[in-house]
Amino acid sequence: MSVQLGSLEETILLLILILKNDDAYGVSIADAYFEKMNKTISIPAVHTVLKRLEDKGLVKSVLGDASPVRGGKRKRIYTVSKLGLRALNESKESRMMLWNMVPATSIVK
Amino acid sequence: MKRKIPNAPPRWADRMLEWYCDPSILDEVQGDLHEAFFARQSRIGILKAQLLFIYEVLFSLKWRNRKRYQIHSFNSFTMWNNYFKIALRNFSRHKLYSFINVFGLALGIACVLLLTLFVINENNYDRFHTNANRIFRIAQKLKDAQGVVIEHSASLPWAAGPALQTDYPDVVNVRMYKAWQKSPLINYEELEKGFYEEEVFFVDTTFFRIFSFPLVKGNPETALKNPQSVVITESMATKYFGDADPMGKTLELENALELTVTGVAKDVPSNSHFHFDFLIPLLNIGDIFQATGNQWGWTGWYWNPVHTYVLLPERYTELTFNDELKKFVAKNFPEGLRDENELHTQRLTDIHLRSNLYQEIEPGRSESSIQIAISIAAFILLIASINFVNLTTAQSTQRAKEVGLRKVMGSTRSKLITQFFSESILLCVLSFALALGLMALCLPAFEGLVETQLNLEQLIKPDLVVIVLLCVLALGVVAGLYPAILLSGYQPVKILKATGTSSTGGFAALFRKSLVVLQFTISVVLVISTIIIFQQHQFLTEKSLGFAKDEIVMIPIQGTTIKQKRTDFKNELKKNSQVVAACAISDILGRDVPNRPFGIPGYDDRQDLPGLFTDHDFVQTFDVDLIGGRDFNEDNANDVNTFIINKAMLEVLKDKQWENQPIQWGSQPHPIIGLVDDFHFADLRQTVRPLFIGFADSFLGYIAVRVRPGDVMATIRALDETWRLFEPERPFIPFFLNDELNQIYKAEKNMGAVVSTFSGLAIVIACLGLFGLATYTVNLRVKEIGIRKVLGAAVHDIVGLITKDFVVLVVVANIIAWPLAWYVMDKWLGSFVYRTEIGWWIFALVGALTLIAALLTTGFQSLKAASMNPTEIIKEE
Repeated sequence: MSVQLGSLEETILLLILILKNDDAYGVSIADAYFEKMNKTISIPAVHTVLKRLEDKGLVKSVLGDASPVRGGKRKRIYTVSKLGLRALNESKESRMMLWNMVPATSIVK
Repeated sequence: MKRKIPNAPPRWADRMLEWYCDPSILDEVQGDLHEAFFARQSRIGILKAQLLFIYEVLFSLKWRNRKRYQIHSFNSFTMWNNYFKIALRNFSRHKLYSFINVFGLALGIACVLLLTLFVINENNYDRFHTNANRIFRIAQKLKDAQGVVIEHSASLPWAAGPALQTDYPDVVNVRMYKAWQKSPLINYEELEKGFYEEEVFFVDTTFFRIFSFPLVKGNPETALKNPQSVVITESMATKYFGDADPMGKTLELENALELTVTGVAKDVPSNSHFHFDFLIPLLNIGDIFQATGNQWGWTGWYWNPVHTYVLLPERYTELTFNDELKKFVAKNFPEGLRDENELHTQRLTDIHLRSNLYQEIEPGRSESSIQIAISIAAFILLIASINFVNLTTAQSTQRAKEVGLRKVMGSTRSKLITQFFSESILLCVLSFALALGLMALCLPAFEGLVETQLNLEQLIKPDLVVIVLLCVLALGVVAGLYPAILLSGYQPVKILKATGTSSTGGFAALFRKSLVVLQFTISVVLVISTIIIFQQHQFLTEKSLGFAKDEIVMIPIQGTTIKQKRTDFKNELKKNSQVVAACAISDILGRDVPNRPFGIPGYDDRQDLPGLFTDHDFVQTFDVDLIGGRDFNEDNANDVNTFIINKAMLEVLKDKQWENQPIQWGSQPHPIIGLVDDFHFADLRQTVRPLFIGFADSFLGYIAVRVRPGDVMATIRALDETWRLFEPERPFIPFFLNDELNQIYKAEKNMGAVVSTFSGLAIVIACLGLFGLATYTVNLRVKEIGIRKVLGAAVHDIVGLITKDFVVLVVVANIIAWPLAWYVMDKWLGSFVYRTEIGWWIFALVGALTLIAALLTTGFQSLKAASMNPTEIIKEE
């Protein structure tokens, strides 16, 4: 079996992994997206993807701390689940396999 | 002054987010948005950050973030249970109230449903055809030299259909010709069955390509292909052939034309603007003319008896096709007719209600009768709803303690309002269910009243059902609005401390009284209108027409040999001592007489004036008043080429000289030999026009026989025997002129019957309400009555005390209603040339009637209270 990963879903899963040492939550993911991908993304869009990933069981979440800058609201911190890791690996491997099959001459640098 | 932008996200957006989002995700969403806002604020400025915040809030209002309401099922359900229980207890404790409430409303709703059904039915005429909205009838306007429309006809000349076919091959057209002024005889030789049939239509073979009348047997494509074929309806099949298969059997038209049955159509639905029983292909016009005794035998552009319909292809709109019709007239109509003629289309679905032209196939209904039906329905619903409101508010005082207690126990105003709304909606739904039963019960009677077949299925359409249910709900809400708001506003302390009489006096009572006045005003107006409509109908049917109509027997003779042998026939008739006189006549006197061109001395052109044709003894037979000259006389051989005129014609003649004035008719001048007083040869909607009464051999359609009053039936049997001497092959079907003329005013009679039934119902419903109110008042004042009796009041004092209040209301209602009714009916009567007077006695009568009704309904309750033993009433407390 394999879980279908959308491109944005894959990106955000990877960003959560990159943010491993910090808290991965809506705002930090959006910031990381801007930094690494050099594109902006709105917070509600991040939320939508996170909820979808959670529904698929690819991420897990716990409620974190509140802070004054958040109006006293708590964060929801996401971590990639085992299923999520496997899905990322599968995706990567299938890509690599395809890349390996591409004749070297047709790759334009 | 520059406003300082606060260093925070917009409050309203934040609130919206809190209002929309479920608490379980609010922390994450709101927290993230806030954090992002503060992070951005330093980077891109407050304003941009705020805009971005609003944008992100809007995008966070996603379906999956919506607030999931927790249903407090347990508590809420119990309360509803309680409301329902209390409502039922209330109904059963006040059985009479509840009955009056539910039954009155049910009666009102049933009336409204029936009238709605009627209105829908009237509006759905001819819509059952598959292409109904692309089918048009072409009508013809004939103008005189001055451009004045002298004839606006629903039918076209014979040649129009085929010419249309040539010019516009993609426009399917069909001509329908209904035997002119005559009911042809149809015979089935084998069983020796023969009837004069009214609904015989001669149609083009394209008939079934335009109209969607389903065939039970036979193929619509081929049924009309053969000239000598006929398509009959199911009921005709049973009438002529019984249970036998009609297909292939032979019917005979006028003993002359053999027709093979090639199709059986379903009976034409009642909501069609024409109802054929026989369809015969219009292929051999010559044969048909011969068979139907038509002597004109001419199919050109002048004579216009054929109704012509077109099925427009998509490339034409109604508008563009009317432009084409202009070109068509210019191209095809012969010189001399071109400029005088205009053709235009009528929508098929408009014919029943919005077309009242010359030569309609069947009389339509006027839109005004639809408006009358709608307004009556609205009035009745209003009266019934007023009952509902009145009884509920009146009863409300008795619920005051309940309201007080509920409030003390922690109920809120909104919950009380919900309770009372749900109660009144429950009552409405109950009434509605009862109304459905009542409607089904009354449908046949109502169908008889409006003389149409109504199809209940027309009501069962999803959109209509939803509308009706919404109306019932709305009625419940509106009717419950006043009591709900009034009752829920009570202060518990006041109610529980004192006896709750707060709503019996003051505003509530005034409101109730004015509603009662409104009810009775409407009822009185309706009843007065009914009486006046009936009076007018009576007036029209009984007004002296200036000729004898009561003892006249009309015998149709078109297409018979009697037409040629009529002198012998008349002489034979006159041998009977019961026959006063007899003459042949062209038209049904009193219906109308067509205009014909006469040349009058002193005028250059021929004048189109009414021309009646008859023979010897006309004056004697119809007993018209001969002012001068003489009747057509058998002894005077010259009289066959003469005219008699009426008084109105004197105005047309130059110098009012009439004696022996030569009138040009055909190619010959005919002298005037007699002058008769004006008589109503047309219906009473018109004034008496000038009339020529000519002696002629053609045109004659009937023999009119004046018989002596007495055993008329025996006389008719004797006439029948005489008929058989001359026409043994044909049935003898006479009719009384009087009956025929009464048909003219059927519309008035019909409307009178509908209005009277429903105004009667309105009074009944209003009285029901009064009865309920009287009961309530008596209940409220029962102790007072007891004490009055102890102190020596007589029964009649007490009855007077109670009824007085209501009598005043009814009197006020009458005073308001009288001028209103007078104004409305005066306008209605204004549409008649001959109209009855509105007598003051009508108002007095209706006033007295409503007073008596009010006295009876309230008197009964007060009498009951007044005759009670006072000790029974005041022993408690």
